[in-house]
Amino acid sequence: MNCIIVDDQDSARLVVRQLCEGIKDLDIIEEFSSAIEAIKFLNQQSVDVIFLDIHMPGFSGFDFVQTLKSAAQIVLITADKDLAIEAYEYESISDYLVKPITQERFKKSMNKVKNKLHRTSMIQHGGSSSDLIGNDLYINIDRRLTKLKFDDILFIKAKGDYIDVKTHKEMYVVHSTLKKIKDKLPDNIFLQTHRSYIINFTKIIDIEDNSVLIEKNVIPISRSNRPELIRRLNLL
Amino acid sequence: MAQEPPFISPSEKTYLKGLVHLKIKIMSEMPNFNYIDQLADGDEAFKSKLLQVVKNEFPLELEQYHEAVSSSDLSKIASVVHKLKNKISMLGLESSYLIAQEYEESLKQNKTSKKESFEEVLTLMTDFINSF
Repeated sequence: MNCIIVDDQDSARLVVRQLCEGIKDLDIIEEFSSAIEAIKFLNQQSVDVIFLDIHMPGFSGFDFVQTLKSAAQIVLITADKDLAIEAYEYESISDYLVKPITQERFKKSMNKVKNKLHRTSMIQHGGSSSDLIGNDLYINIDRRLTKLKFDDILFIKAKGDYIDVKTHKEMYVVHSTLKKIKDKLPDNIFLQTHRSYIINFTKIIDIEDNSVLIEKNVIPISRSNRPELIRRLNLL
Repeated sequence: MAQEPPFISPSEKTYLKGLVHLKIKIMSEMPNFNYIDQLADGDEAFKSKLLQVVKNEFPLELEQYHEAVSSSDLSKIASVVHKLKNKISMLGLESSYLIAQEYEESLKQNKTSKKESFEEVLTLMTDFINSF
């Protein structure tokens, strides 16, 4: 995840920076002491998370939220406990942190944001790393273009010059390669677990040392692909 | 003839007791590095950087506060008090934070209650910040 910090006080930004240091996979790409400058930046570049102070001279945090066109998740940071109800009226506000913020509270907040971002990207099937439009893929079966919903695909298996695309009801054999289909799939849902397999991450039932179970299918996990699979899990 | 003591209702008594307790708490409360140390988690470079930033920022905010008081612009004072609340909480002054909050609220309602107590907190903070 990448983020920006918007707060007019240097000390407050430094505190948030330190809290961010404690979160894996969270990169600060910019800091702003002015809300206007942050808005200008966000018109040019997208981010996942915005840490935002509510009280800033000339432009309140709520003005900022209303002006914002970005799909970023906002974490409000404030000294006021009283504005929480107003804050939760905005869909884009993921959390409301009251100063002084502890590392523990910040971690909880980031888990909340991660889950929300994950849910959002699942719905959009896009995410910042993909320019796919829609929720489906057309495959060529006997000169007919058949539509498959991403969510219906369980896994894909390479088989020479062909691939097997397995859905809940069917197994489609398509003349293509794993590499080609991988480029057409949203990488927030699909993951390569083996040189011959791509799985729909959301369909996993359980995971053993070197295999995952999807419906009744046991899919191998290679040693090199295992760390990425583990990294993506919401592990307790 | 001895003068009768003023009548104080039980609810007023409770309120006054609360005020006295709060005052005692504030008087015994000292700025500290508890929160900053917890945040730094042994990162001395971060701690000294943050303290330096606080040291630079606080006098400017204090100046803004006195300017706002001189201008008698209550909403302006409230806004600076709000900003100072961050430093108050950062320096572990939990009871003083409540004073600042009450003062800020009263300013928003065109009153200045808790002004003196708040300014005592500022003096305490000034001494502490000047010591590091």
